[in-house]
Amino acid sequence: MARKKRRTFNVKEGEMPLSAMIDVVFQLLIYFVVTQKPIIENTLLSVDLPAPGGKPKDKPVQLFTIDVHKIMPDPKEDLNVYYVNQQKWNFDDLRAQLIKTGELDPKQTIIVNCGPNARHQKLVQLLDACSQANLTSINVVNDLTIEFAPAPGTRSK
Amino acid sequence: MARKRRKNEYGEAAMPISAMIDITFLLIIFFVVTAAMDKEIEDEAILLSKAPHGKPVVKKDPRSVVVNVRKDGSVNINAVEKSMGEITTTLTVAASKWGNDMPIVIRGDKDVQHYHIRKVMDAITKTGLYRVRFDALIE
Repeated sequence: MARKKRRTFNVKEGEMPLSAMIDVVFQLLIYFVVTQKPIIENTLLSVDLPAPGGKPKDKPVQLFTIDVHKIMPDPKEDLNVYYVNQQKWNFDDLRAQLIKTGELDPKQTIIVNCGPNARHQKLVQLLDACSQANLTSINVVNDLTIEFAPAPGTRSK
Repeated sequence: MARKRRKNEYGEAAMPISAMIDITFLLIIFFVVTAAMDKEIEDEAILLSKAPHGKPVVKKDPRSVVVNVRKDGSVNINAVEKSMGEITTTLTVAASKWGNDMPIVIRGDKDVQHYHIRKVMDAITKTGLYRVRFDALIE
């Protein structure tokens, strides 16, 4: 039985077989180009949680309480409405007020009272405004007085 | 007068590939160096809120635990869906290993209701951890 002729590369003496290497290099290049993800910058907005076993302070401090609730059915309109110390504010005015507060006292404690039906974006938008105002003492508390109404397609518990 | 034909220095039908190989290798080195091999598993289903004034993350704390909260309220850590009890257990174990100042990053979908975020925050409070951060995008 005739033996199969072994495949040989047509390479002249003193030359390197480049074609196979170029193939592998291009495959590697294509792999890295395809798997490369665009650079997306993230930020982390810090909030304070109540420390376990913490005691209330003796000295009462002046608080700045912002209510974050779902007020409007339209998500875009809803993002523009907040309540500060029981008064209705639009977001741009609130941002300006927070910046003023931050200039006067960056250690001012901000209490964010968040309702269960508010979209997370509304809270993040407020925390972003606090970050812009250089306010660092932000306490997020959960409003337990409002009943949770699950949005369609979400879990009820 | 007969015209002299200029001869190609690479010979007949040859391509100058050395420059191309150089560039290709440079590109490969670039991609190998910039590829994040140890990147944590991110839940691609979550659309993060935008926070254009937030400070960009320069260096992540390697101890941080990322809790993903999807739009439908389901919660997962490293793509493994967990109940609140399991989250409390996972965080308690992590806290005993890394200390109570270990940061917890909540990656909440922009449209998730706060009720679901609150449940995660309650679970975190139970474990005694207090450094909570919300992940957001700088535009």
